[in-house]
Amino acid sequence: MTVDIRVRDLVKHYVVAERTGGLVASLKSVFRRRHRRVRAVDGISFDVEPGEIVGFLGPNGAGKTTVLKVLSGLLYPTAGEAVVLGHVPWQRKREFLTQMTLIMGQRQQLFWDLPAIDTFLVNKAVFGLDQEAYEASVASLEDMLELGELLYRPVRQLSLGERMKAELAAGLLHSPRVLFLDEPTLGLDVTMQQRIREFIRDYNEATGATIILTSHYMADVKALAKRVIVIDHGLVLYDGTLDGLAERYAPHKTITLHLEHPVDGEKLRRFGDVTVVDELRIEVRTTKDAAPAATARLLADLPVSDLSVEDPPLEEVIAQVFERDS
Amino acid sequence: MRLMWIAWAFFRSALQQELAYRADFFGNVLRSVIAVGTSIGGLAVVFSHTESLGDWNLAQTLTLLGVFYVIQGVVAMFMSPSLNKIVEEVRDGTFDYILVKPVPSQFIASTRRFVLWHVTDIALGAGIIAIGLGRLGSGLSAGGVLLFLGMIAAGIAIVYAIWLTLTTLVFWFVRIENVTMIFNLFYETGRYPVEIYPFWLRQALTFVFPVAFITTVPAQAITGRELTWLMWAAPIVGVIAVIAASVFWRVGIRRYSSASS
Amino acid sequence: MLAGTVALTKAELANLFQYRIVMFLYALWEVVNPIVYLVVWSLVAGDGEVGGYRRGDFMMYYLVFMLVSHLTVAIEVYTFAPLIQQGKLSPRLLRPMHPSWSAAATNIAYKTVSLIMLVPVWIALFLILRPPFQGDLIGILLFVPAISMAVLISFLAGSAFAMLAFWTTKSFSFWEIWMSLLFLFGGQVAPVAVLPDLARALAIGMPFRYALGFPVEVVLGRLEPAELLTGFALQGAWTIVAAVVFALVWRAGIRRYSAVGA
Repeated sequence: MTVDIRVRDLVKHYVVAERTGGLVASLKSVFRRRHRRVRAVDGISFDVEPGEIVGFLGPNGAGKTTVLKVLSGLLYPTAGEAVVLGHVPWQRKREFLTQMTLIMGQRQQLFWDLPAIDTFLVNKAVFGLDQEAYEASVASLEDMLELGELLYRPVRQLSLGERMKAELAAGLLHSPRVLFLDEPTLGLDVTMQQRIREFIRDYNEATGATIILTSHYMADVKALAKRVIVIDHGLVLYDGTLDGLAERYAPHKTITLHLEHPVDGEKLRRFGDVTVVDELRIEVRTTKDAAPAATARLLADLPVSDLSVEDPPLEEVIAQVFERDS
Repeated sequence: MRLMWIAWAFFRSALQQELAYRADFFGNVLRSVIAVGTSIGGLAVVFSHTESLGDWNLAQTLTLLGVFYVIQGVVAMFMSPSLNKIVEEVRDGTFDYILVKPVPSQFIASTRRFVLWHVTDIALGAGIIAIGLGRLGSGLSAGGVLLFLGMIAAGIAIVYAIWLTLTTLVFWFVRIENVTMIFNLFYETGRYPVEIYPFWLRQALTFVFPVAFITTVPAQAITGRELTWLMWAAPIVGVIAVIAASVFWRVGIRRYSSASS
Repeated sequence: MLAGTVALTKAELANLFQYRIVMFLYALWEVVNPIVYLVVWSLVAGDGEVGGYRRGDFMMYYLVFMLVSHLTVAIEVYTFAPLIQQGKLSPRLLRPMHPSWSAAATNIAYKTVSLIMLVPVWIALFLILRPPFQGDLIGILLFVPAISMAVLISFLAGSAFAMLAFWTTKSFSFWEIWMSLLFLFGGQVAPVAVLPDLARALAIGMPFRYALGFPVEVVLGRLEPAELLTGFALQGAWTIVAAVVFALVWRAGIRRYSAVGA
């Protein structure tokens, strides 16, 4: 079995200068600076197969972006190995760079004062695309992202969402096989986030490209990634399916009940951890193992009109994962 | 060949960006004219009290001032826009987009931008050279002109090496905005022939920060002063400086890749 | 008001120390240009005299000039104009003090820090050149009002140029024109006494000398009592003019700023 991305025991440490506030501290720092070693990535391994979409989850500073930067060849690791499409990324070989792309939601590469199409033309030359390939690429991206006249307006006049669409197109012009997307939906409104998400999914389906993305928005990960890698403090906490994440880190389930008529609060308390949403709707939290028995008891003892058993929301699960870790 | 196409694409987009802002052409020309005018005025003040300065007469010194402005114009037109942009980009992180491009980063970093209107500085400088040579009235030989152009080219190569080296420092000192100011600092001494400076300063301006090769040598070549060993050295120094600066750039990139997050 | 300025100056100092290398470069910048003309005029003077200056006098003139030019340099086009251009002036308008006080704080902080860097360089140059100092106590006493007014003229003029940013994005161009004239008539290219007759007459009438070169001439005792008298009268007059222009430009500018609503 071939993999597109292979990472083994990746470690990335770096040193930062520290200083505290105040005039005296500033004066001191002129002559002497204190340094601190940051372990951004502390031994990470995983494989990604062709065509997979993998979501990186983790709090700020967990090391997600650092891993992406190592994989796209921007950073040399302190130790460990990584192979992307058969290349060592940080050698930055032309064959590697022409087959991958890095798109950062908060940093833009488009010329600010010119229409996006002018950045495209520069990228065309930089990536050595011939006219035919370029036109085909622009046409398909125009179509998938519904760019239309966006490409012909100066970038500074575009809305944040429109600009992100154009950024994506500029980064995908050379039809890369591997995409590294760092917070591609950051700061966008909900509808635009959804548009970008749909595009990423469509693009993955249409081209079979391998995609790693990081996002703060759980909805992105939920909608796109069948597989998630949870990173915190530079370590992989979990690598597997989303459902599995909930299974493993959310040992409780939430049973939601709709009642036919209101029930005395005293009576409900017997069932354990109960949240009364309103008169006719209550939520009961039980451990996973006790869920079937609890369900049976609730059905027997209460006037239930409707009942559902669910895992807690992903956000909660993730919060719990990080809580445990720290 | 491919790099030529890329450079052309950069040139086109830079020109478009320039036009997008419709830079105040006449304002800038006026500014250049006044700056050049006052510095000629300064020369006039000096030469109202003397016939020669370190055995350069007014016409020769004027020619040197012309060379000074031509090179300054070349820097302002081609070098500082691209290289200063790098300093900005390293700070805000968009420099990453240059590193992931399948083209040598030094090439992108050096060719991406230019500012058209500084062509007026070059033209003014050329004008001063013409006036200086006219006053000198010693006539020009084809060989002399060729030698002059060669020396100018060597001077530009050295200036480029200095600029690239200073820019590369940003990989160590991210906060430096105006590190390229060091160039202006030393370049200021190039308004006058290096011969006028005291021994130690003259040595420094020849061997450490080679302003001598940038303005004095080309002016020597065109004003028919005696040929010195500096002229033979200029092209060699130029080539070595550019190679050394390119190596340093690579070290800087390596540092950027291993010391940031 | 004063306490506020002191606090701001402290904060600005802390900020500036982060840019230690840049500061050092700025400080050096003000050394290089006077050195060029120090060299040029020493050479021209040779063993003789030019406009009353001997070789050692030129050295002393440009050494003092270095310090004076450092103390008087206006940086408001770099510090204050961007605030206006980027619409960041509003928070400063909300402070219970005129924004120029905080600009003054930046100015003082910059000069303090870069002076620390400049002084060792200056002492080294002084020890190398060992020029003769011919000033007297009166000159040193008169230097205080002369340099104070020069700093004021520079700051007020620099601020007025910076405030042109209320109307135009090209305030910097105008400032460069001022700087060019300062170079020629302010005593930088040559001491005013060395300028050719016409240029000297112009220099004595125009404001540039009083923002830069005049304190140098005063402290070195190069002026006759009559010259001192007219010099101080003109410097005082130009200080008033600068203050009036500053106030007028500010008032018109702030009206425009409020009207445009940045």
